[in-house]
Amino acid sequence: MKEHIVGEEISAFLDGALSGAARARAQAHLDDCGACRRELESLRHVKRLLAAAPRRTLPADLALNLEHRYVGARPWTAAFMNPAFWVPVGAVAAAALAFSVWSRSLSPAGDLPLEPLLAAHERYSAEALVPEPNLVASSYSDPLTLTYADAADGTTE
Amino acid sequence: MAPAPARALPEPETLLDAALAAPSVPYQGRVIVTQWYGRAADGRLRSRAEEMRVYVRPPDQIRREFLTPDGAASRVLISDGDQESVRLIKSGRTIVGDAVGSGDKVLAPELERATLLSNYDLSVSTGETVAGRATWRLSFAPKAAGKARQTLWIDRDTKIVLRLKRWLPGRPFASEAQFLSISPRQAQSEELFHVEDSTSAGSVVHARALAPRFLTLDQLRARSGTTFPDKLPGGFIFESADVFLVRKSPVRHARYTDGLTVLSVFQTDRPVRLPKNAAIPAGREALPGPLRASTAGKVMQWRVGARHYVMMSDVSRDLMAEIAKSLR
Repeated sequence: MKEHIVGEEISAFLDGALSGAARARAQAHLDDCGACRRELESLRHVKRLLAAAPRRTLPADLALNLEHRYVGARPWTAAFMNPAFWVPVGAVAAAALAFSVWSRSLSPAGDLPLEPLLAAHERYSAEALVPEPNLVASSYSDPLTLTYADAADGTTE
Repeated sequence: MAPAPARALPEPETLLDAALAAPSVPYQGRVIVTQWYGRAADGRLRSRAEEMRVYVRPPDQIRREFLTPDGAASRVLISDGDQESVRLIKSGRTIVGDAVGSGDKVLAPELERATLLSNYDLSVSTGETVAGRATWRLSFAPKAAGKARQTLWIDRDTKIVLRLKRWLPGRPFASEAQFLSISPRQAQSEELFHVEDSTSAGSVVHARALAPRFLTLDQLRARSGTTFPDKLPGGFIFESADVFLVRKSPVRHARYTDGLTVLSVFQTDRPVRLPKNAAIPAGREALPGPLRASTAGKVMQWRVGARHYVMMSDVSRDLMAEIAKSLR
């Protein structure tokens, strides 16, 4: 039998973070190895317990203030202090600005898509006092699907 | 055979409360949903229909399988009352977030109910059978012009809503959901209601649209720097707001209700791309911007200074124009 799957790899397998080939190898090993399957189930159990633990939601205003303050914050803020940073960055920024102006002149790329707004409105409809849940779910999941179907893993914003 | 004994009609508000309560019995069934949303350029009605299998386990576990014409599931929506997931079969992707109704609303339920009763006349009559089951028909007639009528067909036995129709009289806008078949009191397996989450295999997207954060009117005013009103023409009152990002640009969403019909007003810093081929003909009131039809009802956009506004609801064109005027 091949070597057992190490802890980090099992965790990545559970999170769906393994690439296709690594995932296939891990799945093949799990099919044959009872010890690793038990390890996997044990880890999955722990994750479910954690997921089921009571969650605290930040007050909406506080969450938005934090989002407002930190969305777009750069981890390399300290680099701003180094003059050597500005020479290559300045050149790239000038090129990016020129490209942006040129591309905006070609198409209305600055327009926002309607689908996220439709999804938010339908979600609101679902919260209404007299929803017809099946009716709302049908119209709600369409814009939601359009909004997120092509998004990368994780949040889209 | 002796005729069935006549049954006294229930009181409208009693029937409404019973229909809005959490389901008391497990059930499964098939539902068809149809929507009519305006006319195409050639005058034909634009419509869409969708069929789904529905599984319910009291008090709040729900599974809906949306079906392709050949009967296969195209997407599966599962809610356990706390979390909700939408699995897209073709892409293998799953969208997860907070379940509908899992958060506390800003507007007190008692006030929302009182708003409904002040804006609509309720009446009860004997309904026709739906999916072979006897029903009461609960109708909502708006007191203000330009708003949709709505009727619920409610199972006399279980109080499950078996059919719903909303329509604007004389206009090509309506929506309907109806059970084709239903099996009440049929036990449902727990396995059907497992919400996929980040511990599941596969590709998971955490969707903001499935987890709104509600703001009060004062919080929205502080966030937007705009004096959104607490009331709108047609009997609408402010319900709550949320703010989210689309392409890193903030979208402020003010949510209004008349107790039955909902109306969204979005304020953005950039224009929103509206559908091209769904324009609505001119009416009595002048419009501040383009008006289009969508499955969510009507969508209208206009601009005030540097800010763009988008309004969505299924009220009439003229009422939307009147509401937009009050927001400018």
